[in-house]
Amino acid sequence: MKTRLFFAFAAFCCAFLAYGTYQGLVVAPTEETMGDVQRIFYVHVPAATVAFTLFFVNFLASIFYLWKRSPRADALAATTAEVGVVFCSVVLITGPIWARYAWGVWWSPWDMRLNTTLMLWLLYVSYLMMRRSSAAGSTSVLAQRWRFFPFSMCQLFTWPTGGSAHTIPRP
Amino acid sequence: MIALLGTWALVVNGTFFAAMSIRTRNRELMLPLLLLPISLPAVISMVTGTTQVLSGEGSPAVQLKFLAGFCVIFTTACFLLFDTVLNAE
Repeated sequence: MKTRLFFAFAAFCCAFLAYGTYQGLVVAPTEETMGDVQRIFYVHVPAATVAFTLFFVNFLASIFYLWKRSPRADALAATTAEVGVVFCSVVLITGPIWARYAWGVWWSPWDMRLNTTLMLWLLYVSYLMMRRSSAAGSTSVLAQRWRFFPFSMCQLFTWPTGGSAHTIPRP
Repeated sequence: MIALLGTWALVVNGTFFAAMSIRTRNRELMLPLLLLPISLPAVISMVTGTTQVLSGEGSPAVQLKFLAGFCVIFTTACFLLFDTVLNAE
């Protein structure tokens, strides 16, 4: 039953991805000032939204785990962190590619939004590594992992202080 | 002020994450790995604040506020969670 559900969802996702790609690359008109490079937004922005949503779910699940010690919350937190890291990587890869053409540089070191995203990624990677390196099979030791979470979210909250990265004019 | 808050931020984080990573395998490797990203915001604001003080360009007030907020958040969180980290058996 579960594998069947999995294939159903996978097919559903593939169909939507294909439709989205077609819409983004063919149907959507070319942006006036940036040209075709702007189309990377159709990947970049949704990936960022997904990553941050997942990290937020992770935050809630971690708090819930600290509170109730429910193994399901633990599993949810682990899953959202893993998938979130994947999407955050997508954001960090597509972002510089776009910036190279739009701003003329790969990375603007004093832009807090870029830096906080990178920090967020680093945090979650180290979080995942920490999960892996905990004593095998010991759920009690796993418990301490969760402390890490509220902190990761603090990182996220510092993000909007940087102003908007995407309004920097073309040099 | 920057030195004071910055030291506090590093000490609080360092202690807490040392207590946390002591139970992991590869703990020598784990501590810097955890500590670097978590204290990066504090380090960045320290560096920027000091630069502004030394060069006289701009006011370090924003960096100081950020640093103070960082200290408050992390000190509270560490106090609340320190027991759980130590008694996680």
